Amino acid sequence: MNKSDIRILIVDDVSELRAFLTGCLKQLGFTNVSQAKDGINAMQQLKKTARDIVFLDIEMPKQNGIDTLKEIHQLNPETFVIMLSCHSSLENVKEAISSGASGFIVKPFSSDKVKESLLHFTKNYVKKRRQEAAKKEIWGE
Amino acid sequence: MTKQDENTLKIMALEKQLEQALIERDDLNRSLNLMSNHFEQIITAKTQALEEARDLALSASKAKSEFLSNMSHEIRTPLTAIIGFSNSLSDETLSETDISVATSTIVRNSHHLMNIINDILDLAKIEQQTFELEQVEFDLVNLLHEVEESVSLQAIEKKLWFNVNIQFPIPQFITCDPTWVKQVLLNLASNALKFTNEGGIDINVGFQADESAITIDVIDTGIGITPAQQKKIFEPFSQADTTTTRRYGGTGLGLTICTKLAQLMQGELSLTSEPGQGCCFSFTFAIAQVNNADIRHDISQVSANHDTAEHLPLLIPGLRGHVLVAEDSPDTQNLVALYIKKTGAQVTFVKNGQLAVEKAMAETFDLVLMDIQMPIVDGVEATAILRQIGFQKPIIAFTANAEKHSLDNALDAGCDGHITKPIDQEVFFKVLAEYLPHSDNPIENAPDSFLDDEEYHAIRRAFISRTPQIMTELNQTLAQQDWSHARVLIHTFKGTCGSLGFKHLYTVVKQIEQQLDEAIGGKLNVNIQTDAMAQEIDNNLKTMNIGDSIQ
Repeated sequence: MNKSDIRILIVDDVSELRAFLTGCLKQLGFTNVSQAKDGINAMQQLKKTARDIVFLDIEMPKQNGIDTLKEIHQLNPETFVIMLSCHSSLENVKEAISSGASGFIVKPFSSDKVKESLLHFTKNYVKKRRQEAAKKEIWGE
Repeated sequence: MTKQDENTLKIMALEKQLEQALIERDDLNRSLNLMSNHFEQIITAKTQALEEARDLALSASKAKSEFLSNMSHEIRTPLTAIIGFSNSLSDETLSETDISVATSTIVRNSHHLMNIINDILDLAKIEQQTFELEQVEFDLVNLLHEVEESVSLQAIEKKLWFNVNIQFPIPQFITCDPTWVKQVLLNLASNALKFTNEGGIDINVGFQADESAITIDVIDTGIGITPAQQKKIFEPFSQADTTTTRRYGGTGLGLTICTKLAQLMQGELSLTSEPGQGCCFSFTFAIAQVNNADIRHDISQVSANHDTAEHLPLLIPGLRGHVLVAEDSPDTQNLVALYIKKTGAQVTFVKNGQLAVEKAMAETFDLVLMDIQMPIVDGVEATAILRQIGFQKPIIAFTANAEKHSLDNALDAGCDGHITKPIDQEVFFKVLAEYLPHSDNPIENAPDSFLDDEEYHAIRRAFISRTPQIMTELNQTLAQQDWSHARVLIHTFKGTCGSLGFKHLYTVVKQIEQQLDEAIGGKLNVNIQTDAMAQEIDNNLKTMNIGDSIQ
């Protein structure tokens, strides 16, 4: 798997932020990026095509990010969801983790933070692949 | 008388003379024989003596050449690495990794070489006929502290316990040679550390009043030594077996030096050990007669010594980047801020784990120093949360808990390493230099030590002025028998004492902490006295000319 094979969805109601994040990802070499402006639209897209990574804003109109997160998790627990939020309070972070989030980025952020969260994804991905390979090796199909 | 008669008489006389002469000749021959036998005996004896002397000289010279050949081997081995890697550095095609491997190998081997040479010089010094031990009065407790200070850090790094146990009654001030006593102790302690991977090291110190001698047992839970190896290890340049040097390093001269020193101090160095069961090295040395008044019967009688510690010139690395420090004690914050700013790096403080998580996420940091024992959210939990949400930067646990489980917890939670309190400047700068980007502008005119630094003194003063208040709070919690609250107070207090160089206060407070641990562990009838602590605080207040006395 290389960078362009990794399917990414950005969910945020602010178009500038979606554009900025898409730019950051492109700069880092991740080109397979699509956008959604709210949780409902995100779920529609995800039901059609699974994504490897979802950047998900918490403070959104219509449906709050945490509820969307729970839905994504129900649909596909493998999805690596990175929350975006203006509030870095520990309470928020803990709620996100317990609802299935794999990462958390506080707004405003720089491309460094985006890169850091992608590195986190890579580590997880490698770990998962190794586990799967080991399972296959020991237990067979 | 006819002419013939005359002749006959003459002949007879001559015959008699001849006979006499013959008898004399035989006598002479006999005594000559006797003498010759005697000489022969003497010569044989002398020859034998000479032969013996020659053999002795030969064996001494053999021992010497064996020593020399061993020594030259020991010296050549690190030199080979130094020369080889130095040469390789001129190769311009080397990668950065190759260069850093080469330089670190050179540095490591240079240090090893220096140790060997120091040991050889020590041994030569001790073996000289003119070698004399000093007879100076010195503070034994203080010396033990110094040994503890220089060794305990390594112990913590290896996750081993390291305890100095003083068996009272004992004289605090003794007269003999402090330099060499310390040398032997350091040697035995670092040996014990080297060969122990699990468990720890106990140093038990006792006094034999009837023999006027001090006995120090260095007991480890290490790999142990077989009876056959036990004989060998006291000989120069020999370790338990040849693979030992490769695995554990060392010059193989340490125990030879220690044994000689112990003998010179009218004592001995002995060993009891079983493979797999650890070792006990017992070091005994004579001291000058002690007055009964100088004998201490418990720790409270040990008087504090206010000698300022010696500080070696310190190299401060020039660094960039931003460090987040999560630490609840304002005094430790001040000290850490002072250290970090000296390197040129930036620092931000938070006072608990919750704020650490929030700050670490909201801003960009290159390194996080995370105190483990903090209010609200502790360092282990904060680290675990940060790692769970993908925080990738290094986190170093910053802790006064030398206990194995708390270090394990920190590492399991995702810490990359740890620094123990009291903070050792050298270790601190080493860790910073490892994780922070280096700046192109090295620090100019770095001070030799912080002891002369005004800021450092201000921090010490600020801390000491606040101690009466802490003391009151502590006494209240003790009166209410709220042991765990008291433990938290005393723990933080102890860490700061150590970091700011209040050695004796640290010792006194450590005793209280141990008593509190016993109390928390369920011991009944606990009676914790804070008099010694109050006294020590008062001394410091007086020394620093601070008004609010607590007594």
